Amino acid sequence: MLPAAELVAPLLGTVGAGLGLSLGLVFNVRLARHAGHPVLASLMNFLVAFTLTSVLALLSVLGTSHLPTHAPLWAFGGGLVGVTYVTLTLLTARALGVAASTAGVTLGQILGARVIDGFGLLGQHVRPVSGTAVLGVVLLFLAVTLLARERARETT
Amino acid sequence: MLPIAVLVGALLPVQFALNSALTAFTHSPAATASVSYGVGLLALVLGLTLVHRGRIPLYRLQGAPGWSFLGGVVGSAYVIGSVVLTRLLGTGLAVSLVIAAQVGAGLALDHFGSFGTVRRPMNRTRTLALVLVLTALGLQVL
Repeated sequence: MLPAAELVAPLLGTVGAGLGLSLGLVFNVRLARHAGHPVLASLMNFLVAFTLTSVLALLSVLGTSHLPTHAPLWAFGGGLVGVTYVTLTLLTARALGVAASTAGVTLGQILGARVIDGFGLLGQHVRPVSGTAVLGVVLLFLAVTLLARERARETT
Repeated sequence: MLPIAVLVGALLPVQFALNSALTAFTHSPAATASVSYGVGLLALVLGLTLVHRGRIPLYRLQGAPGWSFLGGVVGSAYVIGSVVLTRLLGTGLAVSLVIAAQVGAGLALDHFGSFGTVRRPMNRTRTLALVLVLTALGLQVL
């Protein structure tokens, strides 16, 4: 186990990421519904986030920022992958329904992450996947599928 | 279509890994988020310009409630948080933590019906899902 002080950053990261994703989605869905155009809502979302994080970076809020001049080109692909992900999840949700799409996307997230770790792809350290981790991942997948099914039953 | 959803899902950990690799050069999760959102913004502007033949219909956003424009503020916490987690714990655990936190936050938002969402109180299915998520995290962290 990690000592208590080293748990603070992951804890803040988890809360920030979880709240940011679910609360941000509520805001975006509202804006998308008004505009009748989900990608337009994404544009606004990216514009606001880009402005805010640029100010934070210039003020060196989370450590002194450096221009990534020596970074390989592929390392700049995160934003592109993010946009593709957001747009395609809108399409799969429409084609498959929320329940099946959520289950499929979650499965992909979990499998993809373990493959990247297991082989140390995209500049990551190799982190072998343990048996208990696999069991944990299965439970997580069950939980997400359970909730997605409940929601789908409610809306139909 | 289901295999496509699985492939789409796999893009998320790829984004985590790429952003975490970029942070080795920016030395700051905020700077990484700024670059990442900047590249994404550029792609969206190009794509929308192409689809709408040079006239992005921004007027359609007019009259939306002011708070609904602030999704990017909370969204920033997501990209920054995912970078911090991936660098500390690897993509596998980072993705699991984010999914778990998302489920937890989603259940809480539903339970209280915050921000104009329909109120969906906790019930047996939702409690079971929460227990599964917490067990899943316990198994992966220990």
